[in-house]
Amino acid sequence: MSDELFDELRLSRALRLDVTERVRIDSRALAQAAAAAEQAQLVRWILGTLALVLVLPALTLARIALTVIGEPSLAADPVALAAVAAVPMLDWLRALAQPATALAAVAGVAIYTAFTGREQAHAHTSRT
Amino acid sequence: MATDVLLLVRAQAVPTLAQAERGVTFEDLVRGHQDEVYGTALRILGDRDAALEVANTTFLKAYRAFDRYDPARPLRHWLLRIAANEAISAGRRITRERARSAGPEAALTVADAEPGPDSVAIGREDAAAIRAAVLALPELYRVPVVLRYFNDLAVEEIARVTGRPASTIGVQLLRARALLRSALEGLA
Repeated sequence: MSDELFDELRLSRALRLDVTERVRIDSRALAQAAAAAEQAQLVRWILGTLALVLVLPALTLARIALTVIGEPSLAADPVALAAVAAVPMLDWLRALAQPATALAAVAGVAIYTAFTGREQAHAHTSRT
Repeated sequence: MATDVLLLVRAQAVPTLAQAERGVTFEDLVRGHQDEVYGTALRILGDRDAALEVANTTFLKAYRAFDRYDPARPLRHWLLRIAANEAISAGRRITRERARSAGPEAALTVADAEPGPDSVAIGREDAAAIRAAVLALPELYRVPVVLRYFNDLAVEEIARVTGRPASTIGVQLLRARALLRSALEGLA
Protein backbone atom coordinates (compact mmCIF):
# COMPACT_ATOMS: atom_id res chain seq x y z
CA MET A 1 0.00 0.00 0.00
CA SER A 2 1.45 3.40 -0.96
CA ASP A 3 1.94 6.11 1.64
CA GLU A 4 -0.59 8.30 -0.14
CA LEU A 5 -3.29 5.65 -0.04
CA PHE A 6 -2.46 4.84 3.55
CA ASP A 7 -2.81 8.52 4.47
CA GLU A 8 -6.18 8.69 2.77
CA LEU A 9 -7.46 5.58 4.52
CA ARG A 10 -6.28 6.87 7.88
CA LEU A 11 -7.95 10.20 7.23
CA SER A 12 -11.24 8.61 6.26
CA ARG A 13 -11.26 6.36 9.29
CA ALA A 14 -10.27 9.10 11.71
CA LEU A 15 -12.96 11.46 10.47
CA ARG A 16 -15.80 8.94 10.77
CA LEU A 17 -18.59 9.89 13.12
CA ASP A 18 -18.43 7.97 16.38
CA VAL A 19 -21.57 6.47 17.88
CA THR A 20 -21.36 8.94 20.76
CA GLU A 21 -21.18 11.85 18.34
CA ARG A 22 -24.47 11.13 16.59
CA VAL A 23 -27.41 13.44 17.14
CA ARG A 24 -31.11 13.36 16.41
CA ILE A 25 -32.49 16.42 14.69
CA ASP A 26 -36.12 17.08 15.49
CA SER A 27 -37.63 17.51 12.03
CA ARG A 28 -41.11 18.24 13.39
CA ALA A 29 -39.79 21.05 15.58
CA LEU A 30 -37.94 22.47 12.56
CA ALA A 31 -41.02 22.28 10.35
CA GLN A 32 -43.11 23.91 13.07
CA ALA A 33 -40.47 26.59 13.58
CA ALA A 34 -40.44 27.33 9.85
CA ALA A 35 -44.24 27.49 9.73
CA ALA A 36 -44.34 29.69 12.84
CA ALA A 37 -41.70 32.00 11.36
CA GLU A 38 -43.71 32.34 8.16
CA GLN A 39 -46.87 33.15 10.13
CA ALA A 40 -45.00 35.61 12.32
CA GLN A 41 -43.61 37.29 9.21
CA LEU A 42 -47.11 37.65 7.78
CA VAL A 43 -48.42 39.04 11.06
CA ARG A 44 -45.53 41.53 11.21
CA TRP A 45 -46.25 42.65 7.67
CA ILE A 46 -49.95 43.13 8.43
CA LEU A 47 -49.20 44.98 11.67
CA GLY A 48 -46.64 47.15 9.91
CA THR A 49 -49.10 48.04 7.17
CA LEU A 50 -51.84 48.75 9.72
CA ALA A 51 -49.48 50.92 11.72
CA LEU A 52 -48.59 52.88 8.62
CA VAL A 53 -52.26 53.26 7.70
CA LEU A 54 -53.11 54.41 11.24
CA VAL A 55 -50.03 56.56 11.87
CA LEU A 56 -50.44 58.67 8.77
CA PRO A 57 -53.95 59.92 9.61
CA ALA A 58 -52.96 60.37 13.28
CA LEU A 59 -50.00 62.55 12.31
CA THR A 60 -52.18 64.46 9.90
CA LEU A 61 -54.81 65.11 12.58
CA ALA A 62 -52.11 66.20 15.00
CA ARG A 63 -50.74 68.59 12.42
CA ILE A 64 -54.19 70.03 11.74
CA ALA A 65 -54.81 70.42 15.48
CA LEU A 66 -51.49 72.20 16.01
CA THR A 67 -52.17 74.46 13.04
CA VAL A 68 -55.64 75.36 14.33
CA ILE A 69 -54.26 76.05 17.83
CA GLY A 70 -51.66 78.36 16.33
CA GLU A 71 -54.05 80.05 13.94
CA PRO A 72 -57.71 79.62 15.11
CA SER A 73 -59.07 81.51 12.11
CA LEU A 74 -58.06 78.55 9.87
CA ALA A 75 -60.61 76.32 11.62
CA ALA A 76 -63.40 77.90 9.57
CA ASP A 77 -61.53 77.36 6.28
CA PRO A 78 -61.88 73.75 5.07
CA VAL A 79 -59.67 74.32 2.03
CA ALA A 80 -56.81 75.56 4.18
CA LEU A 81 -57.21 72.59 6.54
CA ALA A 82 -57.21 70.20 3.59
CA ALA A 83 -54.00 71.81 2.36
CA VAL A 84 -52.43 71.48 5.81
CA ALA A 85 -53.31 67.77 5.78
CA ALA A 86 -52.41 67.08 2.16
CA VAL A 87 -48.99 68.73 1.96
CA PRO A 88 -47.19 66.59 4.55
CA MET A 89 -48.96 63.41 3.37
CA LEU A 90 -47.80 64.06 -0.17
CA ASP A 91 -44.30 64.72 1.13
CA TRP A 92 -44.25 61.39 2.99
CA LEU A 93 -45.64 59.50 0.04
CA ARG A 94 -43.09 61.13 -2.25
CA ALA A 95 -40.31 60.16 0.16
CA LEU A 96 -41.55 56.55 0.18
CA ALA A 97 -41.54 56.52 -3.62
CA GLN A 98 -37.83 57.39 -3.72
CA PRO A 99 -35.75 54.33 -4.74
CA ALA A 100 -33.19 54.86 -1.99
CA THR A 101 -35.87 54.98 0.71
CA ALA A 102 -37.66 51.94 -0.69
CA LEU A 103 -34.37 50.00 -0.97
CA ALA A 104 -33.41 50.95 2.57
CA ALA A 105 -36.80 49.76 3.83
CA VAL A 106 -36.49 46.45 1.95
CA ALA A 107 -32.92 45.97 3.21
CA GLY A 108 -34.08 46.66 6.76
CA VAL A 109 -36.86 44.10 6.50
CA ALA A 110 -34.49 41.53 4.91
CA ILE A 111 -31.90 41.95 7.67
CA TYR A 112 -34.57 41.73 10.36
CA THR A 113 -36.09 38.61 8.76
CA ALA A 114 -32.71 36.92 8.42
CA PHE A 115 -31.91 37.70 12.04
CA THR A 116 -35.22 36.38 13.38
CA GLY A 117 -34.92 33.28 11.16
CA ARG A 118 -31.54 32.48 12.68
CA GLU A 119 -32.97 32.94 16.16
CA GLN A 120 -35.85 30.60 15.35
CA ALA A 121 -33.43 27.96 14.10
CA HIS A 122 -31.40 28.29 17.26
CA ALA A 123 -34.43 28.11 19.52
CA HIS A 124 -35.85 24.94 18.01
CA THR A 125 -32.98 22.52 18.35
CA SER A 126 -32.87 19.19 20.05
CA ARG A 127 -30.10 16.82 20.90
CA THR A 128 -30.01 13.26 22.07
CA MET B 1 -28.45 7.60 -2.56
CA ALA B 2 -31.99 6.36 -3.12
CA THR B 3 -33.65 9.45 -1.70
CA ASP B 4 -31.82 11.66 -4.17
CA VAL B 5 -33.77 10.40 -7.13
CA LEU B 6 -37.14 10.69 -5.49
CA LEU B 7 -39.13 13.85 -5.74
CA LEU B 8 -39.09 15.67 -2.47
CA VAL B 9 -42.05 17.77 -1.56
CA ARG B 10 -42.16 20.36 1.10
CA ALA B 11 -43.99 18.28 3.64
CA GLN B 12 -45.61 19.90 6.65
CA ALA B 13 -45.23 18.49 10.15
CA VAL B 14 -48.23 16.26 9.46
CA PRO B 15 -48.15 15.32 5.77
CA THR B 16 -51.54 14.89 4.18
CA LEU B 17 -50.65 13.51 0.76
CA ALA B 18 -50.28 9.81 0.04
CA GLN B 19 -46.74 8.44 0.32
CA ALA B 20 -46.53 7.68 -3.38
CA GLU B 21 -47.55 11.22 -4.33
CA ARG B 22 -45.39 13.11 -1.94
CA GLY B 23 -42.18 11.10 -2.39
CA VAL B 24 -39.82 11.90 0.45
CA THR B 25 -41.08 13.96 3.37
CA PHE B 26 -39.09 16.55 5.24
CA GLU B 27 -38.85 14.04 8.08
CA ASP B 28 -37.33 11.46 5.71
CA LEU B 29 -34.92 14.08 4.42
CA VAL B 30 -33.73 14.93 7.94
CA ARG B 31 -33.52 11.31 9.06
CA GLY B 32 -31.63 10.30 5.94
CA HIS B 33 -29.06 13.07 5.99
CA GLN B 34 -28.74 14.22 9.61
CA ASP B 35 -25.54 12.27 10.34
CA GLU B 36 -23.85 13.50 7.20
CA VAL B 37 -24.91 17.13 7.60
CA TYR B 38 -24.09 17.21 11.32
CA GLY B 39 -20.84 15.31 10.78
CA THR B 40 -19.71 17.70 8.06
CA ALA B 41 -20.31 20.65 10.34
CA LEU B 42 -18.64 18.91 13.26
CA ARG B 43 -15.51 18.03 11.29
CA ILE B 44 -15.27 21.58 9.89
CA LEU B 45 -15.93 23.31 13.21
CA GLY B 46 -14.78 20.85 15.87
CA ASP B 47 -17.53 22.04 18.18
CA ARG B 48 -20.62 19.90 18.83
CA ASP B 49 -22.99 22.69 19.82
CA ALA B 50 -22.01 24.84 16.87
CA ALA B 51 -22.28 21.82 14.57
CA LEU B 52 -25.77 21.04 15.84
CA GLU B 53 -26.81 24.62 15.27
CA VAL B 54 -25.39 24.49 11.75
CA ALA B 55 -27.24 21.23 11.06
CA ASN B 56 -30.52 22.70 12.28
CA THR B 57 -30.01 25.85 10.23
CA THR B 58 -29.17 23.74 7.18
CA PHE B 59 -32.40 21.75 7.38
CA LEU B 60 -34.44 24.86 8.16
CA LYS B 61 -32.99 26.59 5.10
CA ALA B 62 -33.62 23.49 3.00
CA TYR B 63 -37.22 23.46 4.20
CA ARG B 64 -37.73 27.11 3.35
CA ALA B 65 -35.83 27.06 0.06
CA PHE B 66 -37.26 23.84 -1.28
CA ASP B 67 -39.19 25.77 -3.92
CA ARG B 68 -35.84 26.82 -5.39
CA TYR B 69 -34.29 23.35 -5.27
CA ASP B 70 -33.59 21.81 -8.67
CA PRO B 71 -34.66 18.13 -8.45
CA ALA B 72 -32.35 17.30 -11.36
CA ARG B 73 -29.39 17.82 -9.04
CA PRO B 74 -28.52 15.47 -6.18
CA LEU B 75 -30.25 16.37 -2.95
CA ARG B 76 -27.16 15.34 -0.99
CA HIS B 77 -24.95 17.88 -2.79
CA TRP B 78 -27.52 20.60 -2.24
CA LEU B 79 -27.67 19.90 1.50
CA LEU B 80 -23.89 19.63 1.79
CA ARG B 81 -23.48 22.93 0.01
CA ILE B 82 -25.79 24.65 2.50
CA ALA B 83 -24.11 22.86 5.42
CA ALA B 84 -20.57 23.71 4.30
CA ASN B 85 -21.45 27.36 3.76
CA GLU B 86 -23.21 27.54 7.12
CA ALA B 87 -20.26 25.87 8.85
CA ILE B 88 -17.82 28.31 7.25
CA SER B 89 -19.94 31.27 8.38
CA ALA B 90 -20.31 29.81 11.88
CA GLY B 91 -16.56 29.16 12.10
CA ARG B 92 -15.77 32.74 11.16
CA ARG B 93 -18.32 34.03 13.65
CA ILE B 94 -16.88 31.85 16.44
CA THR B 95 -13.34 32.98 15.62
CA ARG B 96 -14.45 36.63 15.72
CA GLU B 97 -16.24 36.14 19.04
CA ARG B 98 -13.28 34.36 20.60
CA ALA B 99 -10.92 37.02 19.35
CA ARG B 100 -13.17 39.69 20.85
CA SER B 101 -13.55 38.00 24.24
CA ALA B 102 -9.97 36.74 24.63
CA GLY B 103 -6.49 37.21 23.27
CA PRO B 104 -5.51 36.29 19.71
CA GLU B 105 -3.99 32.96 20.87
CA ALA B 106 -7.35 31.79 22.21
CA ALA B 107 -8.99 32.40 18.84
CA LEU B 108 -6.73 29.78 17.33
CA THR B 109 -7.49 27.03 19.81
CA VAL B 110 -9.79 24.28 18.67
CA ALA B 111 -12.79 23.38 20.76
CA ASP B 112 -14.19 19.92 21.39
CA ALA B 113 -11.73 18.00 19.27
CA GLU B 114 -12.10 15.08 21.63
CA PRO B 115 -12.95 11.87 19.78
CA GLY B 116 -15.42 9.17 20.70
CA PRO B 117 -14.65 5.46 21.11
CA ASP B 118 -14.00 4.61 17.47
CA SER B 119 -11.97 1.44 17.38
CA VAL B 120 -12.14 0.66 13.65
CA ALA B 121 -8.53 -0.20 12.88
CA ILE B 122 -7.33 3.13 14.17
CA GLY B 123 -6.24 4.04 17.64
CA ARG B 124 -8.20 6.51 19.69
CA GLU B 125 -5.23 8.85 20.12
CA ASP B 126 -4.33 8.51 16.47
CA ALA B 127 -7.85 9.54 15.41
CA ALA B 128 -7.81 12.44 17.87
CA ALA B 129 -4.50 13.67 16.50
CA ILE B 130 -5.72 13.43 12.91
CA ARG B 131 -8.97 15.25 13.73
CA ALA B 132 -7.05 17.97 15.55
CA ALA B 133 -4.68 18.30 12.58
CA VAL B 134 -7.66 18.61 10.20
CA LEU B 135 -9.21 21.27 12.43
CA ALA B 136 -5.92 23.16 12.44
CA LEU B 137 -5.90 23.34 8.63
CA PRO B 138 -6.78 26.68 7.04
CA GLU B 139 -10.49 26.84 6.21
CA LEU B 140 -9.65 26.88 2.49
CA TYR B 141 -8.19 23.35 2.79
CA ARG B 142 -10.31 22.03 5.65
CA VAL B 143 -13.61 22.12 3.78
CA PRO B 144 -12.40 20.05 0.77
CA VAL B 145 -10.65 17.62 3.15
CA VAL B 146 -13.85 17.05 5.12
CA LEU B 147 -15.94 16.69 1.96
CA ARG B 148 -13.39 14.25 0.53
CA TYR B 149 -12.56 12.11 3.54
CA PHE B 150 -15.66 12.41 5.72
CA ASN B 151 -18.35 12.66 3.03
CA ASP B 152 -16.38 10.52 0.57
CA LEU B 153 -17.11 12.86 -2.35
CA ALA B 154 -15.11 12.77 -5.57
CA VAL B 155 -13.11 15.83 -6.61
CA GLU B 156 -15.74 16.83 -9.20
CA GLU B 157 -18.50 16.52 -6.59
CA ILE B 158 -16.55 18.68 -4.14
CA ALA B 159 -16.13 21.24 -6.91
CA ARG B 160 -19.90 21.30 -7.43
CA VAL B 161 -20.61 21.60 -3.70
CA THR B 162 -18.06 24.34 -3.03
CA GLY B 163 -18.41 26.15 -6.34
CA ARG B 164 -14.63 26.00 -6.86
CA PRO B 165 -13.00 24.55 -10.02
CA ALA B 166 -12.13 20.85 -9.84
CA SER B 167 -8.48 21.59 -10.59
CA THR B 168 -8.36 23.98 -7.63
CA ILE B 169 -9.89 21.34 -5.37
CA GLY B 170 -7.28 18.84 -6.55
CA VAL B 171 -4.46 21.21 -5.66
CA GLN B 172 -6.05 22.12 -2.34
CA LEU B 173 -6.38 18.46 -1.38
CA LEU B 174 -2.76 17.87 -2.34
CA ARG B 175 -1.56 20.76 -0.20
CA ALA B 176 -3.85 19.78 2.66
CA ARG B 177 -2.45 16.26 2.68
CA ALA B 178 1.09 17.65 2.71
CA LEU B 179 0.21 19.89 5.65
CA LEU B 180 -1.44 17.01 7.48
CA ARG B 181 1.52 14.75 6.83
CA SER B 182 3.95 17.27 8.29
CA ALA B 183 1.62 17.98 11.23
CA LEU B 184 1.30 14.28 11.96
CA GLU B 185 4.97 13.45 11.57
CA GLY B 186 6.01 11.12 14.31
CA LEU B 187 2.62 9.51 14.50
CA ALA B 188 3.01 5.86 13.55
